[in-house]
Amino acid sequence: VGRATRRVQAEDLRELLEAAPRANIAFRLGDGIEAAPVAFRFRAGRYFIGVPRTDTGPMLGPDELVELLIDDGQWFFDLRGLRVRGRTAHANQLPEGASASLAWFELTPDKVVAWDYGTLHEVADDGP
Amino acid sequence: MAPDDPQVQEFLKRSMNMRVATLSRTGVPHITPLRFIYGGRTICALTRAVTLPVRHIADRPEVVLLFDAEQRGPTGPVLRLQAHAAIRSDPGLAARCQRRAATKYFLRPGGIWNMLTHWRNLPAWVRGRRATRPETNALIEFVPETAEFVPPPS
Repeated sequence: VGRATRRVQAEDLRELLEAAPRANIAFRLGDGIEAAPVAFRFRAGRYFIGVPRTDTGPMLGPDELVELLIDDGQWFFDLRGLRVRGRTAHANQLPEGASASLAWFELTPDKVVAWDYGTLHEVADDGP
Repeated sequence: MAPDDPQVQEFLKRSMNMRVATLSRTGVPHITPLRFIYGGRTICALTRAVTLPVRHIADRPEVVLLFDAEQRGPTGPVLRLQAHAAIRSDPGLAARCQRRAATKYFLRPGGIWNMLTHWRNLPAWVRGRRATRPETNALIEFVPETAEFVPPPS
């Protein structure tokens, strides 16, 4: 008997990524932390986030370290999601279906973690 | 907006999970969903002591919490709270929080139905819970300081 795990591969959540009900990011602002909802598009395996433009410019800039959270579900075994940590870069072109009123960035992942409680199962202690 | 505004309180009561954003000692941002209990002036969450939010809060207690009132429906604003977090070591508070969490997440029609429809996963879940020693958990208490409603961009 090992331990319970809900870890999955990011590819297992493709359906969620292509129709994400919500997307939020966390990023450093000054000496503190900030978090906000963002628009999200997953296109050809690439992660794009759209943030509002304000009078002082978009709340994010290029080359910022960001963690993106895509998650879904209310009840325990429905909970699933994916966290992507990476750096932002201006999107070269608008992702398909994206609003031009937002500032769009591509997030280049350094680390991706995905989970799905609906797949909770036991693995050997040295398993994933 | 004050965190005790009735609109904020109503929104929190309709929210099932929150997204907790923290910053590491070295300035790395982190965001994760957590289940929570709203107690009127404070918000409590029980999680494992080794998780990043717990470790980050020990160094940097100022956090941001996002809520989207899942029980209201799929659209609408997000509630953003700036909060001060602390790791509490009060067994009585932890027990109360656990009881309320059981009521909120499991002892309701949606929670019971969710368990029944995932009966195949239950043995792994039960064994996992039995293997978790209480001392490996941490109780985080959040005291909201400011609140605002943010329209989600689409």
